[in-house]
Amino acid sequence: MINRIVRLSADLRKEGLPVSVRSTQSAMEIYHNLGDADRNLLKTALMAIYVKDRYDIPKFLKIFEEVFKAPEPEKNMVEDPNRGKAYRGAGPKSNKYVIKKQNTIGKKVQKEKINNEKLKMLSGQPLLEEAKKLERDGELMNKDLTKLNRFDPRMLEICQRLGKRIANKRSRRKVQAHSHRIDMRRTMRANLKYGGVPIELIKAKPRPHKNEHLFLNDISGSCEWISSWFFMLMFSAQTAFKRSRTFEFDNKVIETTKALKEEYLIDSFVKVKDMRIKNMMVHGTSDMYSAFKQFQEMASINNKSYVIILSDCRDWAGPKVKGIPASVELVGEMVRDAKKVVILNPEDRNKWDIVDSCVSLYEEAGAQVFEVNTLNQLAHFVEQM
Amino acid sequence: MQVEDINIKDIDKLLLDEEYVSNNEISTTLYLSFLLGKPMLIEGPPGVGKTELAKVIAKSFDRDFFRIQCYEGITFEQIVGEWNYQKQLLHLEAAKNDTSNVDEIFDDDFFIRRSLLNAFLNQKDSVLLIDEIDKADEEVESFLLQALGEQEITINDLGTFQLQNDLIVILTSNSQRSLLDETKDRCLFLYIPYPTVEREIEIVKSKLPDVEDETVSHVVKLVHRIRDLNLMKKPSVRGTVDWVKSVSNLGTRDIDQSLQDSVGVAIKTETDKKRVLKDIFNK
Repeated sequence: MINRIVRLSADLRKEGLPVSVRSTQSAMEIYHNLGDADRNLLKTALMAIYVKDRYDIPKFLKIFEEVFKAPEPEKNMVEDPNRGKAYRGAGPKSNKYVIKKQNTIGKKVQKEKINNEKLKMLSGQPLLEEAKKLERDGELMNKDLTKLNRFDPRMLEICQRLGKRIANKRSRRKVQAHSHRIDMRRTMRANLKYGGVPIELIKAKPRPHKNEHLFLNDISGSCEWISSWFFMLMFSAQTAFKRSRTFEFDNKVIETTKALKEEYLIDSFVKVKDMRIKNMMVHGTSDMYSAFKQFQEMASINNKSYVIILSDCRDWAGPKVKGIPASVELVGEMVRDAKKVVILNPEDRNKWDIVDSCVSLYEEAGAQVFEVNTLNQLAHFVEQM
Repeated sequence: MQVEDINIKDIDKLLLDEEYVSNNEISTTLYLSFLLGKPMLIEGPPGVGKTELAKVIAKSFDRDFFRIQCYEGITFEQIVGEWNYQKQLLHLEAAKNDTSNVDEIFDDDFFIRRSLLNAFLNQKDSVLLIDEIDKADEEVESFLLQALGEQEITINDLGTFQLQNDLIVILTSNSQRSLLDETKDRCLFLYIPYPTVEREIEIVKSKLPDVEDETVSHVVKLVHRIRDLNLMKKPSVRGTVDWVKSVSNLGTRDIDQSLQDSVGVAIKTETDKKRVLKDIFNK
């Protein structure tokens, strides 16, 4: 008995589920109480113990099936054709699972008449459909966005959900940052009238933070996809970034801040696409020197600005000085003027600095470069920003 | 009723008595919660009956019900209790010349108890609902670990309080943020998704027994089609119940017209409404 539970715990850990000793202990207790006569009951019970995140449900179901393989069916069960789909189920089939508690006084069970058919139906409602959906969501959140070759509406939904979550988290952090602390000097002064007894507490007013976020997204061929996702994420989280401006570039720069202010995402997205077409920025090649130069003029970077650049750092068409892209110097200037310059690189880390990628050069100039190629990584970064 | 010799079918039956249509996962997890004495962490989209489940458990098992509604910035004081500062001051002023009873200001009388402590110290078996725990800050969640895991609460200057009754703790979350691993580890996890068509029909019927079966079935099937669209906010079970109620009041002779007129009952944003009118009602 213990071997199976321990194996289940170990296999779940291998799949990345956080299984503690406490969980194994609880699982043992359950297994001891329920046994394995009713597999579906055991599965549901162990799922409640082991699964801590809905995205882990599919993994659990798979591993459970491996560890607790169903025995060969002795004979085929005959379904009553008169019963509807809802009444079929895989719930508990016996009444023997009973909690025994000592020293507690039982009261009368309510004895109203219950529809027995309903009860049979209630005992089994498979979660399989939902599990499939969850598996897909879990995968999508960790999928390499640069390798997506079609527009998945479900991805958009997840993106919006992530965006909202980010906005929520940031606003909570804002509340924390603005939580009023006791202003001792004013409290003492205010309470002089009570003879020094501190009856009134005066709280300090929050200090205004006027930081500005400047987002510069690369929309040249290689980065267009991830820029679009980033844009959607920013749209959903826009309430959290009131003082922010967004720009897009390939070999020139356009400002898309106004498009973010649209009421609906689709309008916003259409507007941005329209702006790109009007400026002939479709499948362009990146010239980071011209783009950064123009960006500096448009954005007027100061010491309260955070510059966040989403780019693969491949300066295809930019000029070079002694073999080094001239854009490196401009990154240096931005680092000097801004509070922080962050580059989000959608490429795999092992492709950095190969051929025309100038990640190291930008890092040397003072920018911080992070690998961001899944929606989860992207969301994590924006959350921490 | 007290939890004695209870089985999963009894749980189903008792919940159904209170018009809560349960399913296998819900009843089994509740059974385990009784068996292991562990809290239940319920996740799921809004309006699928997470909070309702806690209320119904309290009613079904004849227990006292306590609720903590979490929100951004909720503090320890609002959950456990706080010192009655003004009363302490008045007491000190009154006892200015008598230093012997200064320590009294840290007695129980000067402490205002809130839901968590009340639930812990209640003599009758109780249900404690900690609603939308994901909205509370991590500090609050960390504080709750002791209560959830060791079934005791420590309050500075007052000491440690042991659980006085057979308390069922239910936490709900909408996954606005991921909870601490420690919290999850102490709880039984239950995910309540949107129900299947059959179960949703049963839920609506249990809430609105007077409405015709045909109307219920029509609306529920429509809601399921709507949920398959890529909407910003999918209609909840609560929304379905309200929609059926509205349609039956508006008249079921021209059911499609009634559904269109009352679409706002289930669909909550303008873009979603336009989408539903276009894709479902062909408008």
